Amino acid sequence: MQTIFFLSLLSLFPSFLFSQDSALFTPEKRKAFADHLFCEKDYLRASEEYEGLQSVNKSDSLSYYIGLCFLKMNDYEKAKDYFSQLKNSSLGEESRLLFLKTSFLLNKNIEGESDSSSNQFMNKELKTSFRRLELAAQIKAGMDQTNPLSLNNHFEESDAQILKSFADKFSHPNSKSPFAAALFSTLLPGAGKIYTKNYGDGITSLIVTGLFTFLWYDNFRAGHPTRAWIFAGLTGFFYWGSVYGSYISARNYNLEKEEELNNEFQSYLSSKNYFIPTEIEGSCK
Amino acid sequence: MKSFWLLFIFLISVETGFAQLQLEKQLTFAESLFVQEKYFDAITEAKRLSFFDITSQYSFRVNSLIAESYRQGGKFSEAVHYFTKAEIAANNVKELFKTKIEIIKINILRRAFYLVDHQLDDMGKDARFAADSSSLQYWRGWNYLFHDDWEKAVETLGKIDSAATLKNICEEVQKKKYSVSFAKGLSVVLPGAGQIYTGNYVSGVLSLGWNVLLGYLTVQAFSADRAFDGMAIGTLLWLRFYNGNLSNAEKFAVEKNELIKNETLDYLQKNYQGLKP
Repeated sequence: MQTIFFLSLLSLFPSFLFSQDSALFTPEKRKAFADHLFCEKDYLRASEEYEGLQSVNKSDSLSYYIGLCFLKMNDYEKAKDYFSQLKNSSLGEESRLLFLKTSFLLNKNIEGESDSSSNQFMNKELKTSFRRLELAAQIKAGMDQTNPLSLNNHFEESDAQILKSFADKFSHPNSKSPFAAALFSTLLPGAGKIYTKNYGDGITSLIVTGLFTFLWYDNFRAGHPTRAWIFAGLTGFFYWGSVYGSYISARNYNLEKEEELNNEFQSYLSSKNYFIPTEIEGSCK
Repeated sequence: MKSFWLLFIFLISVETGFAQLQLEKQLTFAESLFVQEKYFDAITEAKRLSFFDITSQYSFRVNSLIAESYRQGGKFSEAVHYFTKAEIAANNVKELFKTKIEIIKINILRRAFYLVDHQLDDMGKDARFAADSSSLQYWRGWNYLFHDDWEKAVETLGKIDSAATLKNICEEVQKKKYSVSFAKGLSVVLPGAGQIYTGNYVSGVLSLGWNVLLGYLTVQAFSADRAFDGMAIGTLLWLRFYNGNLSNAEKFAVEKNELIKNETLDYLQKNYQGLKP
């Protein structure tokens, strides 16, 4: 009888262990599950789990991972907020570096972000990463003072060469003057478009304006003034259209080239993970 | 010593039982979230269960639930990914068939016609699914229907008695649809006629008017020995309007057909009582 009673008591014990919320929702298990979601790249759910844990027990590590989740989801503003809060924590160096990265990705001027205090690093590798990203931002901003020597000091030779070429392209962009394009088309319809390498449109402009000019002249000569005036109107329309179109074409050319260069630079930086060691962005086995 | 072993075995079995109970509870919880249409949360809880289900005993049910939730949320790629996992974890032929059909249904919705065709062919050759040939035929019909091939849909669905309603709907659509080549042909002979055939009367009349006017101006210029003017008006204006009339006739017929197709799919989605993707 005693044994039965003892066994019954023992059998109740695990039920306390696995009571309603505890079994799968203990902080340790939630953390393990959140880490699993993070590694599965389900960042939205992972961030929710980390935030749930954070509300129970606040920790720098959880904030850091929440920031990482937002960074991976390209929600840079939120990621920046989390990394900003951690600047003076135990994960301060990593956070400062990732804060700089999010600022860079947000296309913000990072001059103010990389002040002297945030530039102090104990970890040499992180310090190098920080300086590299700063230089990349300077290159993107088209700063002439990007010192080639500084690039040689902070990057491998092959990367320094590539970055020098980018620095040159950003500080001296291959742009076309919209006013020059308009002027060229004023002198010869379509010439401005040809100047902006829009050859098809340029030649069409020249032919169409020339044709209508001829029809205008021909109808006047043949004594058809009404038709001649219609063609004169059309000539004027196409002539000024060509002038205005050339101005727009030059502006579009510049925007296109700028976007092309930005994409090329972004893609290069992305291939280098923005010079940031991959370990600090969450390690998954 | 004997009582110690008895106690040990008893404790282990009780603990396993409780762990099992927790997983079962978690599955019920995830399923209840799905029923409440809280698909995001249903996926989270099902993934939690999957993570802690070390023996993978719930693998089929959990992955099916995640896949179904993703499908309801319109995330078809993720749904196929998890249905594939469920397919791997299927415990019998019935579960395997069900999962394969779910994947096919999603692919039909994704308009992956050739992939579905290939998948149905593969299932048709599989001896395990020999008894389900009419079901395969039925989904093939749906695949044709989504591929805008109503003739083949009618032909395929006609072979299954239970799909008579769906077959009749397809036949109706077939009758309603406009012939693109006929619309274009009409506009070749008489500009604007193709547009009128597709019900775009204003566009048809305008097109006819422009072509008559510009044709007249071209002919008049040639008859007055102004060949260059005639060439310019004829090529730059008349020909342009004539070509525009042809492309308009084609565009309107295609648009009308697309509208008929979309209306039918919408009707089927809302009102059709039988199985649907």
